[in-house]
Amino acid sequence: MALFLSGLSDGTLRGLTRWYAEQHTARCDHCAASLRALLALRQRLRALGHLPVTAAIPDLPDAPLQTLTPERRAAVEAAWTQIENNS
Amino acid sequence: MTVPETPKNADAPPDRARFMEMVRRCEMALLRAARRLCRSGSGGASRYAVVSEDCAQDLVQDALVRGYEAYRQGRFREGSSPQAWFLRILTNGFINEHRRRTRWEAGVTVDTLTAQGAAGPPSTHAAASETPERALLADTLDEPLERALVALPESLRLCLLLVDVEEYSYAEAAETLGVPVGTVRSRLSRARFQLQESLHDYAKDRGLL
Repeated sequence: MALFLSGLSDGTLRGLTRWYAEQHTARCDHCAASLRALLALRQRLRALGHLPVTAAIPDLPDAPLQTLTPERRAAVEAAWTQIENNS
Repeated sequence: MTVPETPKNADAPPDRARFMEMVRRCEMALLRAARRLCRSGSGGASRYAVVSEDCAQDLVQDALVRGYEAYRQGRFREGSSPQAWFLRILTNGFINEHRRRTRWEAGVTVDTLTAQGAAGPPSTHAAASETPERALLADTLDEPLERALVALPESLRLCLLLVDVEEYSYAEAAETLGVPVGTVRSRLSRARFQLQESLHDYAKDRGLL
């Protein structure tokens, strides 16, 4: 049932298995609670993907960089030039 | 589509100018994803997950170079999402590097690391950036969730990061990880339930339940 609930929570469960899982969760309190928890978890995970890189504590020094360091940027651009020259 | 030019790439060849614009739009998201991939839970007594900023920057740097090569070879499909494309390159780079490192580390002994007082290979050194403060800074607002993510076995964590955080389809995640779609489905299920259990334990330990 765990696999079905997981598929139900992200909408990938289809056809007969979806129908079965829906019927089951409508009658089983335990699975219904599991499904609700999975839906909430997926929402939190999706939100992680949209959070900015900057930290929750902006006053601390040395916050994470939002771009490559200048040295790495220079190395990348040198590599790009090399790629252009090689082609 | 007209790509707005920035002063920095105004003199660049047309290919590069367009590519740089794609990079500019995706760089933050790439670094965020790279930090999440480079986080490890093996920080010993540290209560923080350790993020290697060097590892994250390496990953992004490598993805931008390999991305440009692929872009010049016409392997970016116009109209598709540059961010998803870059993320795929980045994740592939991480997986390849992880496989290489796993093979390499399997052959390392204490003797190899300390022979004749020589320093160990670079991968055995703690990066200066691996401080609790930095790790804390790199954390997001949902710290319990991030910590529970770190505690997952890597194969499960990767699946979850790709599908639930980065919003890959099952097929895209399967292609990136080089596993069948059915494996993605089962790993996801296990990952979600394990995560839920960890979060439940976390809340219980703190008297929140």
